Amino acid sequence: MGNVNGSDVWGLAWRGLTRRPVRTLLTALGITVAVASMVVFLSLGEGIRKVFTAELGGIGPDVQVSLSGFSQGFAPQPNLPETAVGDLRKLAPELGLTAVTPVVMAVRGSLDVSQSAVLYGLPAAQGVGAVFPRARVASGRALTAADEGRGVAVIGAKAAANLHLGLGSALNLNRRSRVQVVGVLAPESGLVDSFIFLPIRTLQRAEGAEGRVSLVALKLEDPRNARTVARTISERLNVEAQTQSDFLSFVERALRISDAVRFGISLIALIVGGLAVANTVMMGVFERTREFATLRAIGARPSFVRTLVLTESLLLALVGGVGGLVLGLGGIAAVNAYTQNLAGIDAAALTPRLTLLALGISLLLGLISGLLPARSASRLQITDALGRV
Amino acid sequence: MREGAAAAGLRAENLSRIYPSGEGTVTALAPFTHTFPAGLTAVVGPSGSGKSTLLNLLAGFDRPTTGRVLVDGTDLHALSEAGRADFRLANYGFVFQSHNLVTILTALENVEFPLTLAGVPRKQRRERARALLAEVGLSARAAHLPSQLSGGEAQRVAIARALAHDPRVLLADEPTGNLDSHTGERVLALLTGLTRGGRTVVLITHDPEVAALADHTLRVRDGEVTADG
Ligand SMILES: Nc1ncnc2c1ncn2[C@@H]1O[C@H](COP(=O)(O)OP(=O)(O)OP(=O)(O)O)[C@@H](O)[C@H]1O
Ligand SMILES: [Mg+2]
Repeated sequence: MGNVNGSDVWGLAWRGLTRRPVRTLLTALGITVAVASMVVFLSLGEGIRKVFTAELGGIGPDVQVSLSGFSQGFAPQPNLPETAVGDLRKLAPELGLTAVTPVVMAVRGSLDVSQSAVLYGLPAAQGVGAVFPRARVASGRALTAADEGRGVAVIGAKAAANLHLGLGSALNLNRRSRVQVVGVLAPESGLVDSFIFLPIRTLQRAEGAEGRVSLVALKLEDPRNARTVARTISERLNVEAQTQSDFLSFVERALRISDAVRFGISLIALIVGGLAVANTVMMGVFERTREFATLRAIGARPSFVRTLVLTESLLLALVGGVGGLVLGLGGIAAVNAYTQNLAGIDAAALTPRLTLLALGISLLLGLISGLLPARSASRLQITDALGRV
Repeated sequence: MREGAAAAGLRAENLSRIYPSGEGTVTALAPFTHTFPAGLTAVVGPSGSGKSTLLNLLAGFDRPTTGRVLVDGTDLHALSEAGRADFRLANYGFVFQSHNLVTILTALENVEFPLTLAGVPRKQRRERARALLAEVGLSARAAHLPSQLSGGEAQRVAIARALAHDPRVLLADEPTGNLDSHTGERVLALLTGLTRGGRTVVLITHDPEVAALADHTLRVRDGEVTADG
């Protein structure tokens, strides 16, 4: 490239692009939309990662025992015989378990997502605090031992809002069972907000799952022993015992797969955007063949012309990429407004690494799109291009 | 350098260019040897005689079929593509018939462009470019884009640019070809003034009146080059 200053090359590339402002703008918009879609798609994974590390890292059970582990997903079927609870209680002194809480989980499905909720059954005597120690009752009362087996519920703030429930409201669990709301929890800005807590027997009966539970939540004297305890339980009893970090790595694995799927979808948009850049830059090269020949005649090296065209391509993709980040931020805000309303969480987040990824992808796109035009520009023959006048 | 006295200035040795054409060949330029003296050399000849071919070889835009071009003893065509570009930047100035200027740059930026390529700091090259624009009488057009200049003005900007780094050799291919006679005279007056200080100016022209202004004349006919004067 010779001795040309970098800033002069960028300045020239900018002039080259702004020579056809409308065409450049439209091409940049193509990249903007592609990058924005990628940012929004991938921000979903990032947001959910944050929710899970923040939520379950702090307040979930130290060890969770179920029949088949997390492979079933977030709310496992109630298929663990309740006898396991007794077995675990027997091991409690030896393993240093401070609380053994059987849990039944069920999803109250609905076509309308905002009308769906997670039903969470746990021993009324132990109360919500046994698994979610930060939960506070805002109005009404907490579950008490006397509630066991009765048709009562304590509900999260978000569930109350979405299902239009208040103190004393009736709530249908399914066609046969209905319960009455006796307490509403204070908002916690977390998953708990959209849970409906029920006495375990009530939920077992409603689900036809008498004698079975979804999982058993364990609290340890020393949470640092979680891994050893989980291994011992898995060996001694015919169950899966998993720690919080097992759960997080399960979530991470699931998110990785869904990241790949979502990235794959946005890849199509990115490729289309890249082709648009290549086309625009190539047209610019064709139109300016004579001009590039003049540059070469005056004394520009082939590598200078190559760098100039490549810089145009990079600049175009970068402008589009920054636009995509801004547009993506708008998209993320919209997604979060929706999921906040739905479940009290920010499902989407623009993390620093996602920002870097978006910019990196934009630059890569610009680089790849610019290679061919740059090559053809640097190879032009001065005599051919100066041509006959 | 080994060439002794012959090494000074611009020299064509046994230079020729033969184009393949259909089943046969076209001898655009038959082998000739010539040392271009300092001062203005006019290259004259009818259309299609090989004048531009000669200039393209002297400039290093095109490769000769035989022979070589020496500039102060350096064999131009023995250099790499990049090396030849650098060599042109340092030793040559060019003025073409038309479309000389970079359309996205202003007149001033066009003049300073060779210095930009050479990495001269902005302030310094601006100063030099302003002085050169003043020399060709176009200070008032510094901020104009080429599309906002008349043909004669554009050629004068091109001349200013060709002088940006004070080149040894100035090559011009019909610089007045697209201009009316009055404007052409003005541009020519500028060009003839550029031979001061031992510079070699090679000027291609159709116009016998222009040729009459030159210190030396090179006649090209059907690819045969003969020197007179
Ligand atoms: N790339 C090429 N391939 C084949 N023949 C060529 C090529 N370039 C030039 N020629 C031929 O070489 C001869 C000399 O051409 P050249 O351009 O040097 O003429 P010229 O003297 O500059 O003419 P003009 O005064 O019209 O510009 C012509 O016969 C031309 O057709
Ligand atoms: Mg010609």
